[in-house]
Amino acid sequence: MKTEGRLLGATLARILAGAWRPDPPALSLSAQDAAASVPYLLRTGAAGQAWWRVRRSEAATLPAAHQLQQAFRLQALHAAIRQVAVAEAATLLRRVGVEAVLGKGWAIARQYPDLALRPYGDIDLYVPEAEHRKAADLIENTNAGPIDLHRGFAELDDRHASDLLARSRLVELDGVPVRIFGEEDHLRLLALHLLRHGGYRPLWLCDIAVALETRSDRFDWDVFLGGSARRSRWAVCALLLAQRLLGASMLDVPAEITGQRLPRWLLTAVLDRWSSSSFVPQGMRAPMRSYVRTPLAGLRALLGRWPNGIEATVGLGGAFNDLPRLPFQVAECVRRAAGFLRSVRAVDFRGRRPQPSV
Amino acid sequence: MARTEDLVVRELPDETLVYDVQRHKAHCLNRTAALVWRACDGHTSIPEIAARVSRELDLPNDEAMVQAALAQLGKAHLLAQGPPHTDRSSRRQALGRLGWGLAAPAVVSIIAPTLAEAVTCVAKADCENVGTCSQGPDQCCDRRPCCEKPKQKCVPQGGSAGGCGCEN
Repeated sequence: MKTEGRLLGATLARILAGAWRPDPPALSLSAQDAAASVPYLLRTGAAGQAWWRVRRSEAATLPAAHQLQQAFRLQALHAAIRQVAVAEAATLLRRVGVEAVLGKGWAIARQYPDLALRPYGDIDLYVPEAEHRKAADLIENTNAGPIDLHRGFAELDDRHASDLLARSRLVELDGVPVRIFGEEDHLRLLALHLLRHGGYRPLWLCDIAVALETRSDRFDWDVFLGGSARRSRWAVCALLLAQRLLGASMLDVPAEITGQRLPRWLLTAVLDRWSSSSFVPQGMRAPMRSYVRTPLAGLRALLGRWPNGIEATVGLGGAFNDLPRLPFQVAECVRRAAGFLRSVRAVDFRGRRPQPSV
Repeated sequence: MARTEDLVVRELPDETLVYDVQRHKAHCLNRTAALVWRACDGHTSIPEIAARVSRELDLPNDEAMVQAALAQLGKAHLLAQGPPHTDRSSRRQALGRLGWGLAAPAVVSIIAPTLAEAVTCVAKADCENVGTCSQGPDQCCDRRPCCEKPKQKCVPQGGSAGGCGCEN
């Protein structure tokens, strides 16, 4: 079962290797591999990239490849619609004096050869804590699209907000200036975000690869490695994952990064996660009590909440070393269960539902 | 005449993609259909469109091909008014022409299953129509933004019903 799963994960890695490049390498893909991998690619938003790779190969005529092409088309339209919403959100906040920083989403999609290769749902905007209330009120009272407004700078909170803002850049989107992170900060954000979610979306690893390969000559590795040393080690491991699994180029990357070694469990943890067709990430899960009438599905959902070694280690702030991950996984479960119990106690049973947090 | 309002258009090398914001439908037009659609400006006649298609795609001048394209564009609601009236015999004639090969106009709807974040939105009714799912709501609700209220997403409902609904 495990080996079978990892084979699927390895197939996904093979399909997406180099898929972020303008002219990705040719790909030979059997009908069997295509049929097995397409549902996962569709579900995780990587179908457009898969089409980008197979479109000029014999595999393009496979029935499963047709679904990839359809996904690419939809993503092309989606990109056109979403970037209008991104520009509107930036304009909206600027009007009240809030200079939000856009991360992930369009901020990384713009570095792909076609915006269709990088679909995104929410618009992730990061604002300093002091400005969050003003921004949140504004968004609440307007008909803005799905904006994920972050209080502070999430995975980058080991850095000073003033430094992050000083390194941020303005880029044009349909004539509207949009503020995005400095490239070193953004690469670190992408890396840490991938790990916080257990590395479950191959697309996020492609993001790291594209950010690595399209970085400018001015990219400062000292800035990338600055801040918490433990987080820097995590971020480096994410880069090494992109190299090992997707063939991301590490040309001109300093030896202090390329010379590091991945923990033994990390690669298999990602491949196992990529193999899980039923995995639903944290934050998108149904509350456990919604399974009352479907106990079997409830049991599956409970098992699906078991954290992998990556999210358990990151959740607890642990070190990426070769020690077994089981203690972290158990401890992370206990931490989440405690959070769940706290939220249940806080529920107003006259109408409000518990947050789907566990 | 071609519709221009509430449409998002994206040109790809060999095809044109159109998203109908009103109906939340996406269409893919091949080169022939796209040429005809672009030419529908309310002034250009069918013979003139046929001549343009013939010139641009290096094909025989064929008004029936334009009629066939207009029929498909109209059916997809991409024309401001319905396609011009054609009698049944000419429609049959148009449908019967298999010699067009790849140049035959094509307007196809884009449908892809289980696209987590690729599709713009889901209609509220479609979200709710999932009903109770035996696999559990984690596997049923697609979590896309709801078309009517983009701040809300199609997410699992609380309680024991196990269905999906549009919520924040």
